[in-house]
Amino acid sequence: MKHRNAIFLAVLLVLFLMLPWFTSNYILGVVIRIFMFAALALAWNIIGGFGGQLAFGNASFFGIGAYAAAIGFSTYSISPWIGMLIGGVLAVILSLIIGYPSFRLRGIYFSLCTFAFSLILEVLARHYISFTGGDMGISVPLLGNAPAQFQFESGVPFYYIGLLMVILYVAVCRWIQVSKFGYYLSALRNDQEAAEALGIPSPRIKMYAFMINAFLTALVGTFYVQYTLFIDPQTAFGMNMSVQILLVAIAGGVGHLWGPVVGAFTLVTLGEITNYYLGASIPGIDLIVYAIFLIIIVKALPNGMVGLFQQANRLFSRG
Amino acid sequence: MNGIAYEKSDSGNRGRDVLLEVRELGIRFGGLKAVDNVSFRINRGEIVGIIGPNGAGKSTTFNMLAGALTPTSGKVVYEGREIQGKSPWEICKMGISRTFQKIKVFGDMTVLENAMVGALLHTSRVPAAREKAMEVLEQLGLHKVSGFKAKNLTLADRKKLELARALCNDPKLLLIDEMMCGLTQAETKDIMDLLIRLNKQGITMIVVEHIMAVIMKLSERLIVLDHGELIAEGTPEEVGRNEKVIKAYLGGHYAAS
Amino acid sequence: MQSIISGILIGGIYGLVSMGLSLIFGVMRIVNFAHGELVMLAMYGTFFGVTLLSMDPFLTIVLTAPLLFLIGVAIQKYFVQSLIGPNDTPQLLLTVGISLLLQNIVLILFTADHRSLFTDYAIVYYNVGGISINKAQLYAFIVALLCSAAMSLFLTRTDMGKALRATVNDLEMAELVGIDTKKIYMIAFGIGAMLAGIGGSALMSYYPANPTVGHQFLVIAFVSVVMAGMGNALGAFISGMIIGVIQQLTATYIAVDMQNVAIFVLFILLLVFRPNGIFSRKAGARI
Repeated sequence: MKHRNAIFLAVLLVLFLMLPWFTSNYILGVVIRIFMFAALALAWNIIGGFGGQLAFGNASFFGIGAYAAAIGFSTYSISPWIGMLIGGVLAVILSLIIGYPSFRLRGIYFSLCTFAFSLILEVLARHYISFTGGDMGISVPLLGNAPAQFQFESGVPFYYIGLLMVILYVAVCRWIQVSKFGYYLSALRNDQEAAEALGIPSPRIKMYAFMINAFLTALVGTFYVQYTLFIDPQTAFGMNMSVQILLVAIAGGVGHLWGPVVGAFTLVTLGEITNYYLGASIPGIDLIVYAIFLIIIVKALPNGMVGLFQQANRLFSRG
Repeated sequence: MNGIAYEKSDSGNRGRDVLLEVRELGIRFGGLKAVDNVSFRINRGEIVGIIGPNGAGKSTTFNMLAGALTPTSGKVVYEGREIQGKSPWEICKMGISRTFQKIKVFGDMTVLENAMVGALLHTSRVPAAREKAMEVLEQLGLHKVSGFKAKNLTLADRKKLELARALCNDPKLLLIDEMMCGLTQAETKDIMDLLIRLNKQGITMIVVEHIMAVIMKLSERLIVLDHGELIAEGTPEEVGRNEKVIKAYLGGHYAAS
Repeated sequence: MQSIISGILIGGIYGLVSMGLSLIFGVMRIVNFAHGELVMLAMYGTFFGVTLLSMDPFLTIVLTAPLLFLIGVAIQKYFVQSLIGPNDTPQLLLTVGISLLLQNIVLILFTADHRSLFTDYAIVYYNVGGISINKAQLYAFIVALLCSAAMSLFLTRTDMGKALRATVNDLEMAELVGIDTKKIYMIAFGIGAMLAGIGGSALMSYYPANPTVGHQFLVIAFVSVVMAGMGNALGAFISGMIIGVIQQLTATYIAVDMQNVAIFVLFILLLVFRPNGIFSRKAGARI
């Protein structure tokens, strides 16, 4: 890492560590949401960005992680920390099931296939009411401050856990990028046929990326349900979640290491600002802003916000 | 076993070590037999060219050797093991590497990274792969552009890169698919000399090529296909005089030599 | 038996909507994620046509059809055209964006309340041989059937229709022959949207509208299109009816809320085993 970048990141880190001391709970809540979406997009980036396979059904894994923790705790009295790991494992198993048919397809058909699974899960979650609470969802019993059960009275511990999560996920992505696995993923993304001719077993490599993505996504699902203490089929598996993850990753810049983080900051902040000024009079305006933003990104900024920064950087360093 | 066209010229098989053997290879698409009953041998250390008029089945045969297509009949035997129908990556691991007619470098990756992907076949350590990649790039004269994104290279350099990348696999057998198209005379000579040099270092080669001057000069032995069948085999001189070959290229009217 | 009839009736609407998607997908290879929203818009159009202008719901089609056609052309011309290329990702994302946009604009303008039409159609039932048939469903089906027949004729008999099919089959060839592909794209999208719109308007006679009603039609339309094979518009209509039947049978014999699961599972099976549709003979991998 370049010297200048390292210092920049260190300063940022210190600022973030100190943030809870000098902001309101509201801002903290917003930043926690940013962390969650950054983590989700970072996980997605492994298969979607590095691997170039636009998976469109990540809500499947998010939902599994959320429900595993929620059901584990409310029905079986298992600590959500354990539930988180169980959710992760289940998500990996699920990724094998989803990946097997999906990876035989290319391009849009792959995306649609993964999407179909998330829709199935949504319906199943609605249907098996005794297990999942159906449409009414599951409300995790409030315990107040119970760290062993992944519950905290204030948002601050969640903030730090979220921050840690983002840092860890970035580290994982970075580690992948510089590893043999990362090179292979990149080669696959660029040209699958050529990659295969060079000895890269494409089905296996894609599957590994998908499995890692599934695991990491599920963990965020658990985080979410412990933070909001509620989950229902639509939030867990619905199209909105899949779209939002995709949106954050793309807005930030697909395939770039920091893309998801930048994307999360941009979109969530944009949404909050919109809601702050217009939310009262026009509910749902933030989603319209997201939609417009997406359209702008697709048409004008194929490399997302990171691409924008890079272009600006080039302009400035030349002039 | 069909041996007519095969036995006509046995000049290539004087007790040398057979690296690859193709036996009655064939493939049909729907009702069409694109390649039918093709048999030949490749000895260790040779450069063998596959030629034939357009649509002769050269690329199809090539792709069957490389694992990109699965034959519907026949066998491909490499170092004594049957490899037909195996996946491209398995074949690569066994020591066969290939280039593509339509250049397939990894555009968004740098030249060095492209080569590293090839080098990572035999090592899991990225620094080691980087070292090896650099070596090969130097050998091919690409080290100066190692930091550039592959998509920004000239056509000739991209072709060299594809070659470099395949070489990083440390292949025993190299399959070259119409590498010379689109190159200038000088660039063509450059790559030809490169291939001859590599062959002398011990890499066996099968070259599919359209440009006659190149393939005649490059190959020790030629295999001629037409309409999916093997019609002649032998040294460039022998093949050049072969009536069937001349007829195939000139389509029925042939000039008596 | 009742389920099968119900399935066919609603399947007609699915079929019409799917036909529209098939056209868009076949001609332009565009995954129109906003297709469901086009249905939704037409439903609202019909709703207001009836409540504000006292029109017969089926007559509103005279208004909504051209309107949706224009919307389709506009989407194609101003949003999609510049993104047509080898990579199908940007188009997908774009239509996702448009879908979100339309959903939420409608949400803001008209709230999330379900809107229903209380007309004679929705209430009357015919009894045919022990099977109860809803008047609205029947009329809607007839509309769908007529439209799809008209569409079929259009595609096979008219010059424009042939040009459309030519573009589906071989884009390069079509261009070489002198077909103005840009214009074709606009017309294809326009007609595709129009079909979705007619389906929506007909549907409004017995189905409530809300901003997110489009979702289910999107998936169903996709399944139909995949089932029929790319570019097979008539096949898409038939597939739509098949899906309608499957849906109703699942609802009756398994569980009402599971009615779509069978469709989704079918979708996955189709994608894996018959990506070229059940009407073609190929079983190759879709690239």
